[in-house]
Amino acid sequence: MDKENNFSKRREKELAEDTIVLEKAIKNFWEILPIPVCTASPIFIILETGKGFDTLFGYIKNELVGESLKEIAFDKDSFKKILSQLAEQRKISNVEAVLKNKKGEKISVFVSAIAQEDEQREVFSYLFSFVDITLMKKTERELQEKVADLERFQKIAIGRELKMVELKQEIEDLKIKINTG
Amino acid sequence: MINREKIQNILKKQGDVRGAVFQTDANYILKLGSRDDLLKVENQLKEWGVDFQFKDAKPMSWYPVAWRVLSLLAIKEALGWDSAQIREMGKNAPKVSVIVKLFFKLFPDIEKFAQQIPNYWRKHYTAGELGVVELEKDKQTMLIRLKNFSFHPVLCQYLEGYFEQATKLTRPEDAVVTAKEVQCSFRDSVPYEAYQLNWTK
Repeated sequence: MDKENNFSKRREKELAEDTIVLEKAIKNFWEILPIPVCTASPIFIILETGKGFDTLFGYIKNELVGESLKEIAFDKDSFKKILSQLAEQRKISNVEAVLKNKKGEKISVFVSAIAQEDEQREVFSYLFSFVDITLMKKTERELQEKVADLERFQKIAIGRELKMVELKQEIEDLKIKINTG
Repeated sequence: MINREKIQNILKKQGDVRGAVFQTDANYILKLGSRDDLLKVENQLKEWGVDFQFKDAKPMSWYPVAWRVLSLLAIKEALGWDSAQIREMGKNAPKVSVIVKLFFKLFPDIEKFAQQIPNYWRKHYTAGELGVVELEKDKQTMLIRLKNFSFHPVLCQYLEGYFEQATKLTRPEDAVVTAKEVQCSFRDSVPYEAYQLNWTK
């Protein structure tokens, strides 16, 4: 009996120590991960945010805990659609969304998320990650503008060329008319 | 001002609590005050015979519930906080608690949430049992009862705030949730504490 008790106590102590190690590892992971991540309840109430998330959206630690994830949506309706898609499929990858920081400034992101389920496959939370693509989108917009400029220039240049060909032809026609006339 | 005899009586009571509660206390004190305030509380605890520092608390380790009670009393004593502030501290706790983040499954289905409640308690405390006595889904109300956990009324105020916020985390953002201690072992000569939870959505 004593042997059993000792074994059980040792096991309990080991488990407690392991839990502490795991808890520290998880805490460090949340702290160091540069990618903005957060967890949310099945109805998208924010439960935890990582340091990267707080930095990107401009909040202090735990400030958004208890608030709806829709709080960071720039366009609430389109974000709702993404969340509905997630609730239905239980996983989304790199879905483009426009969110906003605390100041209300637009932030373009790729949203990925996965549902955490219990034994009955019921969702008890979601894990979200956001990749900031604001700079990429800005560069993309600038490139699109440059392409549009080039297209306009090309159109003008080609138009000019065609006009010159047309005028040359007209001169040739006139020369022929004079010579034959 | 609490006397030595009462402190000794609290220290005699059995039961452990996870260190996470001390971290949530420290978080709230620092949110409202400074490191000096934490030091004042630690000095008060030392004066009562509890040599404890908040920074040393390991969230998943077990500590005497008596220390937890004395920590709340020391906060009242050293910082001059009233019951309403202790309740607010309880409300802040689920938002920052490691236990909530790691182990709570906050199902929006209130029946499923109710089933989890005894488990939530066991994750935090080795003493006392928390159970749902009555759940009226249509009337959006639930009565929960905490048995064998008669430590000190300060914990009742703290837990009232705690239960309110933990329930709030399962409801939509615009829902109003309230928790009220309707029966207290220190007030009503009943062997338990009972809390009424109400929500609007």
